[in-house]
Amino acid sequence: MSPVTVGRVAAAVYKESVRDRVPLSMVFFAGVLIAASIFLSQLSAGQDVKIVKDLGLATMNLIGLLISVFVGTGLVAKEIERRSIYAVLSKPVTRSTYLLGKYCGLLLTLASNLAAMAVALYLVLGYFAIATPLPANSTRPPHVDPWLLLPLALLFVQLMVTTAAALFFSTFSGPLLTVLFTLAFWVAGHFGGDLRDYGRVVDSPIAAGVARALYYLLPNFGGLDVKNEVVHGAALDAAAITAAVAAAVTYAVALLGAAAAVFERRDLK
Amino acid sequence: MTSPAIRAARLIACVAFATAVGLNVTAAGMARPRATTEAPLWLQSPDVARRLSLSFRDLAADVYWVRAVVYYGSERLAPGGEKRYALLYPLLDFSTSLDQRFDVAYSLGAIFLSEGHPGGPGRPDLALQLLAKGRRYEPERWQYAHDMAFVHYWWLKDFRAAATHFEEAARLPAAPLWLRTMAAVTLAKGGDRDAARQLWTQLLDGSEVDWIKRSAVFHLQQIRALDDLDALRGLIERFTARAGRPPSSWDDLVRAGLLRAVPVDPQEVPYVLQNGAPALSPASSLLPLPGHEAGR
Repeated sequence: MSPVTVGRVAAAVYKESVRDRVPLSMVFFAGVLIAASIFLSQLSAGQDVKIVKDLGLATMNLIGLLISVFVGTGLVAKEIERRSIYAVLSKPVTRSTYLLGKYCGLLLTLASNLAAMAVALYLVLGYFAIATPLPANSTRPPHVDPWLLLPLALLFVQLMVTTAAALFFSTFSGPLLTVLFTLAFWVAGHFGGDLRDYGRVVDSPIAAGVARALYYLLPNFGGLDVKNEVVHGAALDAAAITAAVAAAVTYAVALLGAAAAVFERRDLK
Repeated sequence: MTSPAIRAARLIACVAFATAVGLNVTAAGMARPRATTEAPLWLQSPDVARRLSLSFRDLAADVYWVRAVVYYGSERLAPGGEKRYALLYPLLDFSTSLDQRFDVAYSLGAIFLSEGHPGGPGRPDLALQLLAKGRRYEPERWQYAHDMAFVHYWWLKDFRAAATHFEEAARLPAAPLWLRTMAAVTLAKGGDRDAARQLWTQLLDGSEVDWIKRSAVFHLQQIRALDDLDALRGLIERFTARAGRPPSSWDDLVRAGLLRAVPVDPQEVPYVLQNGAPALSPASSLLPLPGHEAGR
């Protein structure tokens, strides 16, 4: 597997997504939404900056998820449908290289879109920093808070796993099912805490065991969500975050490996 | 060159859009005001809302907070009638369940809930419930214990309970030094106007939230109005002793050299004389003064 070939495929995916304009229009929409939060915050009894931060981060989460699911599921399926995949695979490009290149290209697209949305968010927060500065003795986090980059970085890690899942599902199912599977996977990843504690509320040891097994099998996106802590300036658990990131990255590698294994065996005729 | 068909389509789109806007404006003018009804809460359990909101909990908490603020404001500003505020606590409960660190929702929510009748809900019990929930989630945060003391002091006049909460607040990390004296002051001078003035002043100086500051200013103005009324009573007694009759208007006191002009309350509304006794004008927004409001 040549890194150069992976890079070329990734660059092609990135260029195509820019030409496609779907992610771009989503980013534009996010920018508008973040700017609109200025008006919404007028009704918040002084909680304007908190609402701008919450809305900005939630919008990035949603848009990132949509790009990851809808673009991710079409990455391979669209090429097979258009039959353009044959042209690529007839060259000295292995299926695994092709898949990895596609994955890296989409991650590049996601990273640049998140960066664009982060700039929009910081611009709006900069406006608030000038219009309503915090008092000198304030205990609240600053308006233009560099720590906001942490939930964004962790969101990117979440999207790495979600995109790997979309790619994995797309290697053996159609676009509609892939979207459904990926969304279900993402939702399930947010119920980690409930699955872990399920044993406390049920009597059946089998049900509790199944829930516990699912808890270990599914990714735990809750550990990668520190939006609330950062917005409130609360203490962060560095060890727990590091463990969650390591688990998520490993999970993404496992999904990519499984996707490559399925894709290598798939009959493309 | 644009084809005639495209130009015609553009023209139709522009005319139709302008007509639709015109019709909307006309319809808005014709609409009869709707009877106010309680907006429903689509979800009944904060726990279910917490699960359903996935990674968008903080945003959902903000939505419930904005709903609570708008609901409180619209009920408070609604003309006359019985003000129910039935949804205020559930909305605050949802907001603080979704974002358990939402400190302003606890503190300002408690102020909203405590405000006495007829303007406010008059539910200090629910205010205490909300603050107790905040303390369960963040037991190290002294502000919640302080706010509970405040509700006991100002709204429930339970000075012993207020002192206990002040003591608890003073023991918590990062608590300001002045809290240590508050318990003693509360026990020694419970119900004393100076102690109350001290409390509201601390709240005014210590809060970063404009709404809380505004509430503190309002209550400080009420305390000043109580001081003014006491002073005016003294002047009326002096006039009555001197003239052998109570004054019929403020002009009597001005002419007697006891006042320079018609006295006005801290919001610049003139005080009135009712049967020889000074009172706030019914037009004053400082009404009802503390100790005169009805509680539930």
